[in-house]
Amino acid sequence: MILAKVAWRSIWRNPRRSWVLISAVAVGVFTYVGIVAYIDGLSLQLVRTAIELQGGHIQVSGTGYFENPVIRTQVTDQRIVVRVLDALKGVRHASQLRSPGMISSAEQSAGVTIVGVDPMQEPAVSPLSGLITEGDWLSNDPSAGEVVMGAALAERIGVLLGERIVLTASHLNGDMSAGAFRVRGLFTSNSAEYDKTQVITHAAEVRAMIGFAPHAASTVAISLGMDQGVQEVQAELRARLEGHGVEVLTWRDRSPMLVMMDELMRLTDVILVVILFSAVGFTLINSFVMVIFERIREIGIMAAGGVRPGQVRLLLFMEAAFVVLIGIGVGAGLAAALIGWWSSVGLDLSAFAEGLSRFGAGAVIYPSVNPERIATGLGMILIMVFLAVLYPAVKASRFKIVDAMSHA
Amino acid sequence: MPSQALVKVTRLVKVYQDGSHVPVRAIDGIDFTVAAGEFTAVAGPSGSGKTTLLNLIGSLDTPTEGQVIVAGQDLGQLSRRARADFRLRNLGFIFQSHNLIPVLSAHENAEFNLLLQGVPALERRARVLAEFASLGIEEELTRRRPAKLSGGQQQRVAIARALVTRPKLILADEPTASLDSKTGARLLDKMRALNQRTGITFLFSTHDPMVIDRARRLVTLRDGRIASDETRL
Repeated sequence: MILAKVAWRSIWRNPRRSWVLISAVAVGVFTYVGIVAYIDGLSLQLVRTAIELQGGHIQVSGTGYFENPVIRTQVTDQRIVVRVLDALKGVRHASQLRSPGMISSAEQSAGVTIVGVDPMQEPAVSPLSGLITEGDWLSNDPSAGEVVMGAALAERIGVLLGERIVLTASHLNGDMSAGAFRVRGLFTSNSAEYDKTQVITHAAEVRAMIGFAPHAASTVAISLGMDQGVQEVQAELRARLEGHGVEVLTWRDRSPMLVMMDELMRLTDVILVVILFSAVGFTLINSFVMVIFERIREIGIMAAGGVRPGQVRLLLFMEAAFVVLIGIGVGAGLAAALIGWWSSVGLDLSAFAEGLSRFGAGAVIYPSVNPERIATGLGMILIMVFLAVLYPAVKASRFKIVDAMSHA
Repeated sequence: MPSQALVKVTRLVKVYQDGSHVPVRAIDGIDFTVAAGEFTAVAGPSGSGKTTLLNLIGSLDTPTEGQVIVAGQDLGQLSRRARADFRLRNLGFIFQSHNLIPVLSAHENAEFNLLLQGVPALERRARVLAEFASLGIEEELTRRRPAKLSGGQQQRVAIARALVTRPKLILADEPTASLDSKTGARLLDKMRALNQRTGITFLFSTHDPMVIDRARRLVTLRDGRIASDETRL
């Protein structure tokens, strides 16, 4: 197409100006992609922590447990839930018994949540067994009298690996119940809060301490491997488990703050594009006004020969599009290089680790590239460029030909 | 020989506002026809309205009053877009200088309007090469951009561009003004030969005696009016 040829060659008439524009776009794209990858990485880590440490993609519990997590609110027969889950493809699950309690060492005590798990099943829904930094994950012996806990909690109550602690909790019959355990492993997760408040032991121990019925559980955590199809599985479970006194909640239902934060982060994309590319847009307007001023006579000659007003606009849009696409290519290439390196080493924010860890993000952020979001952002950039060039392009297409041709 | 009217101008008026907002009647009620196949020069002193008349006939400008009909089309009835299409299909323009698109080669400049018309590649190439040959544009010049061509070479490429679309009417505004007399004379002879060979109508705006001498009809303007209209044998 001849207009595309004219547009392409025209951007190299003044290479310095074109490279300034390309650089402006490239810096904007590089910054945008880098920040979005960081935000997405942070968001992903927060969500992953919420999913992995707090009940999986979907959690089945006794009705009302999420609002008021007391030990009396239970899944009375987890076998019903397990049967339904076993019939679904791509679904992993594990049951937990949970109770508020107290952990005591020789030196200190602290309020905790005592979580009873099946050590073989729990890794299907939780990464805890892989987060052990000292010692080992729970053994398969249900009567071994062992616990794993956060390294932060161990430090807080002054207990070391292999030492004994006492767990105290309320029995369902109202009595106090206690048991002595040995610390078998210490873990460090992305969530400082989790590390300070959770003590994990065998389900059988908790069942005996609290007096749970043989097939009762506090929660059944369900992992789907990925975040897609969560609502469909939730709907199916709700339908199949109706009348069994349970509630089926996704991580989004259980973490509304996280959902809001995720939405805010998406809004940040829009704000970023608008801020970054408003500056680029004004540079483009300025440059294209100059381009048109320099080429008034040429545009007049072309129009006289039969180039339509719309084709004059198209010509200028193509010039802008070429500049911006080169800028996007350069910017995205640099951003890809940064993200590639960053993905391997992570962005160590140890200086702010406490704050990030409190939110469940960890001290090292790994960027995440969401192609759909990046494409949306780049699409918005193209729209902003289109808007920036609109004024000079319309102005050029409305020149009176005789005036344009008499321009020196 | 010239026959039916290709251009018909009726009671044409064009009023401009000058720098001090005083209305100036550049064209002041002209009635004028040009038959198909004519080789006509519109002459007159500076400010007499020659270029304005050509611009109005070429639909590059709109009249204040009156009517311009070219090839049976009343130009006043056309939108901006339709006027552009009309020019592309029916008219060829040769201007004084700086006629060409600087980022395109001589060949690309000559085929520019053919591309806009959607003429297939093989036919485009054949037409451009034929015009280049008839205008004596050497092969080695075809790939050069305008900045690497002399004034005469540029003007020959501009003439080729005007001719390749096989327009009904070529409007040439002072086509020899930026050329030396020898080059100008040679180009005029080529245009006259083309007129005789193909029957394409040429309408010049000029005060160059070389053009006036070669025109078969000479229309002289003075103060926006036709002062004389003389047909030569």
